[in-house]
Amino acid sequence: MSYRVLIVDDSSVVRTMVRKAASMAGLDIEEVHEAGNGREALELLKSHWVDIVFTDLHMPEMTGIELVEAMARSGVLATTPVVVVSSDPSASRIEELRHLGVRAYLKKPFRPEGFRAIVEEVLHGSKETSDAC
Amino acid sequence: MPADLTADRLSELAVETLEEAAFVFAEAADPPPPFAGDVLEARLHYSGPARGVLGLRASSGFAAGLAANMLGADCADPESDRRSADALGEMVNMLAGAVLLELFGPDSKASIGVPTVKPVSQDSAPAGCLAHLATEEGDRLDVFLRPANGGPP
Repeated sequence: MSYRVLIVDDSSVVRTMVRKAASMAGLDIEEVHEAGNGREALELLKSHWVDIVFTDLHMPEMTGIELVEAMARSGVLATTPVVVVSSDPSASRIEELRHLGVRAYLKKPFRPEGFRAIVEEVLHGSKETSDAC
Repeated sequence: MPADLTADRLSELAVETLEEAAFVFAEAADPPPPFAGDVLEARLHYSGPARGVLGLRASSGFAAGLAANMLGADCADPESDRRSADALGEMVNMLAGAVLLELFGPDSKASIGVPTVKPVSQDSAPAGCLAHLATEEGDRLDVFLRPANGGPP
């Protein structure tokens, strides 16, 4: 099965790192879309269906948390799995994200194998990783 | 309560982050080598049980090499040079995750600001807790942590 992916981060370097990690993890990717903040991501999601969203938390204009909240309110996007990719180490923040419906949290820096485990957990329901929210 | 963070520990965290994020191998250097060329400074504000600023300083050449490593690109690729500031900013962002975990522990709610990157003078020295690193290639990297109230980080 091939996937359509949205990567949301204000750093183009991180967007490239996530794209490469997805490729190195062996994901069959049909399309990759990129956005520089939550607002751009929401605009893109109006016209493109994606299977999974990877988003940073701290971004200008609209944060990752605001993006997740907007997706939850929108109805149609509420079931799209969201993985937060962030340096933020706070356990309480991760708990907050879980309550908002975020499916998993990937701490930067990450390795492709960790990335793959998270994606498999989210897309296929594998229970082999402990990093999922 | 925030813990103290020594320059040695700040240096260790930076070494670990550089290695894990970009396969850059470095170690503490005292005295540090000179910067090779123009210097960029990436900094961000953090908040939580305490507030402050965390920053990295490195030559623009080192930052371009950092970008190449993070992107999996060639150092000679013009894209690496174009994204050097972004790479240095992202490195301070990732270092902030490790530093705040050390300062505040996993159960505190801390927040990491958006990094800013700008050129600075080679001669200016950042205030606060300061650590000098040198890479295997002899590039210098300075790491600094400055609490907002001037107290211990």
